[in-house]
Amino acid sequence: MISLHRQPLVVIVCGILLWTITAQINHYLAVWHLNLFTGGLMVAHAALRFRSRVIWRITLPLGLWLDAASAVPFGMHAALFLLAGVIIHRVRGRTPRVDTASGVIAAVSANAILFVVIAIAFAIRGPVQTGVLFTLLVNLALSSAFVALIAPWYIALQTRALELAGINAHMQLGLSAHD
Amino acid sequence: MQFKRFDQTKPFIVLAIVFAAWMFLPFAAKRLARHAFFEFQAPIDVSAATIRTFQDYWAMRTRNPNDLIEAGQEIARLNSFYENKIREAKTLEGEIARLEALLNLPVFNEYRHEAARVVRRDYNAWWQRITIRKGRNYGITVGSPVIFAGGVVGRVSEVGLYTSVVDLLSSPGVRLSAVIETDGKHRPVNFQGRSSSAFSNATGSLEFVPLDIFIASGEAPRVVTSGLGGVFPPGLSLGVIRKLEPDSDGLFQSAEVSLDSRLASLMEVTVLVPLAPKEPPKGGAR
Repeated sequence: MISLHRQPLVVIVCGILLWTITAQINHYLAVWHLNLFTGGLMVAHAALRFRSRVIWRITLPLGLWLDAASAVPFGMHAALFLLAGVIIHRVRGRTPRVDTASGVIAAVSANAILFVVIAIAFAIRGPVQTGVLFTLLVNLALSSAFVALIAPWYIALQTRALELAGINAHMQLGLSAHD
Repeated sequence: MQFKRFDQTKPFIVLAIVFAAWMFLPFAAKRLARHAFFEFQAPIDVSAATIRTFQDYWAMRTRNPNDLIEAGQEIARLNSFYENKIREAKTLEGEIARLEALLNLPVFNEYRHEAARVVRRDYNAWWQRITIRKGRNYGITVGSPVIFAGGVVGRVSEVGLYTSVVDLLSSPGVRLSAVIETDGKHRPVNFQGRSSSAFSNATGSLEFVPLDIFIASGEAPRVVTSGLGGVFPPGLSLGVIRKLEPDSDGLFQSAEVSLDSRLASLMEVTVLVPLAPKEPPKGGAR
């Protein structure tokens, strides 16, 4: 019961750390008008491992955190993260989900899909200016490469942080077995 | 079988109910939640900026002392130059105030200059904004104009307790009234920020450019703020016209404005905090 509360808290703190690192990299990339998006990585690992209630407790605050840091309607990231979490949770039974490689693939895929959905939402809201498509493609390629690069570290960080909080890998998966 | 099907769709039904509930949530509650999250982020941004400042400090410590002596001498020269300029500006300000009172002209807003350090830059295809290390604790208000050595930076869009967010001039949502300076004349136009392409300079666009404006070789017309609207003081640089295209109606032209390249690497900006307007002098012209 305690781990049910501790688990989301640990993963949320890891998510905030990832956001901080991404924000610092974006600060330096701004010189070239580039931007990294790592929202998919925040959702994918949690959605692959934990039970649905825990996924909700993780994705909702992390989505709102990103909403407060961006010029998007408040709740947009949260809604997309929840939707991504639910979809990954539904399909995870048909794919391997414990090993790091599947976590990386899920993170890169979820990140790219979320990036495209957000771009479509913005394109619908207002006129798209010339040059935006090129910027989006460069940002998508960079974000995917970055997520693929740091996903193994981020997954290991979450697993280790959960262990330090008294929730070992067996317990994490054990909780999901009740689902 | 039916139960299994319901079990499969249950998470999506719950999600739809949550989305509907969120849409009907009062605006004040969403605003409060946004502010709460924003305030939690402020210490992280400020701490990261402080670490960067320390990095810069230690990087400078490795510099050759002769470089520092030369830089100090250069700063002393600049200080002397600017002190002279400040004296000149004060004399001119006095002269402008005297003429304004004499002709009974409307007085422009007065501002308090608040220098602030940039803690985070966030430029993507949809928005360009910076976070600065001053907020309500320094009296910064939403809508305050922000400037730097190269002209206008943008407008404050969000104010927290210790930090504020500034929408950059190149952000597509930023619109302001401007004038084109050409042959000593001021031609009013509408300026709007436009998304910048990766690896290129920030740009804006102009609407309602008169047909007699053109780009002479080697002398691009300058675009500055008009002072209309009361947000930005007049005469602040926005950029230079790079390209002109006739509109479909043939009555006006559209222009692409090249903004200052330093906008992409801002480290220090100045917020113009509007002061309470003074009472107009009684008795009209003297």
